[in-house]
Amino acid sequence: MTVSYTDMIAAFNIGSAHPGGLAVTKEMFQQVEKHPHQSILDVGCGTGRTVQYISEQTTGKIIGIDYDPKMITKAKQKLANTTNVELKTGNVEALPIDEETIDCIISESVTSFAHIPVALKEYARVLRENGILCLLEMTATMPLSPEAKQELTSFYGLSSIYTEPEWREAIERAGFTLLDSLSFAPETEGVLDSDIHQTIDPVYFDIMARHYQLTEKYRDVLGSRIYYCQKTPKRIRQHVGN
Amino acid sequence: MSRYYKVCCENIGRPVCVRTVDGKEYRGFIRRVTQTHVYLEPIGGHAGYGYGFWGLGFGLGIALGAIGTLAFLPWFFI
Ligand SMILES: C[S@@+](CC[C@H](N)C(=O)[O-])C[C@H]1O[C@@H](n2cnc3c(N)ncnc32)[C@H](O)[C@@H]1O
Repeated sequence: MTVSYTDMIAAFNIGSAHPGGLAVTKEMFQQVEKHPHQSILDVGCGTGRTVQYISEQTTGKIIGIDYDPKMITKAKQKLANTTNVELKTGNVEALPIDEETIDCIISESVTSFAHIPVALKEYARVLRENGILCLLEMTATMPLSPEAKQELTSFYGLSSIYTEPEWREAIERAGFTLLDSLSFAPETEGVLDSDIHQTIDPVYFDIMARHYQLTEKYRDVLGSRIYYCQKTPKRIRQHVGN
Repeated sequence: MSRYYKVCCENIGRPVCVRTVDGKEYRGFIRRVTQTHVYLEPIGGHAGYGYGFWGLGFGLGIALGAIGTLAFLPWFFI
């Protein structure tokens, strides 16, 4: 059995499996609330902690999508008593969502796992005009050596690790205006939101320890950023020839 | 009971650095806690014997009574 980093997150039922943890999610949502947010889509929702938090903050409709059925099962367990939430399996590269139906998309440590330009185009497709996209994504603080890139992408199952200028370019090319790009400390504070018990296969603990070693090894080049993006209105997109 | 019992129970899954009273140092994720021991999944090699032992597939066991200091290590998910 080969087990991935994401499998470890599912096995331990870890909530907020992204840099900065729930604290950063809360900060990000304060920005979201300044824009229309009647329909919110959390892509790659994992075990559903962010969906749960947002459902406590708003009466709007929240959709959580993840391509791993294990994640959707865990999220459904967590959100069994919530009414304004819909959870389903789906790939961010081909979202099971109609065009221009979403006010706001949240992606927390997800888009780097997918083909980034394809996923960004999908986000632009399902968002309404002027809709908001919040990307909370790992960002290399400097261009990585091929060896570093190879070691990190293969361990985590990432498609690539972008630098800030690369994110900026991909975001704009997909039809967004980058409103803001903020770097933040990735460390997770406090008690771990998880369901770790003795019967869990040791292989998952091994992955946790290897993950720690890698982040320690690449501490100086692994940054994390939030990108606040807005879908550029059509007439402007056409004007600039996109 | 050791005051570390409660701390360890409340922080399962977090990486720590434990220094035993005889000066040995262990880094690892807290996997399991019993009335007498904490079990760590070691991070990056684990030299030294002392109070640590490999316990029944639960990682590196350290007697709670042997803990001198326990510090949480900074870390993050990706
Ligand atoms: C690091 S976890 C983050 C989970 C969650 N967003 C959170 O912050 O806790 C990455 C998640 O993205 C999902 N994922 C990766 N690639 C995906 C894709 N192409 N389509 C949908 N989900 C994907 C994984 O299954 C996993 O749940």
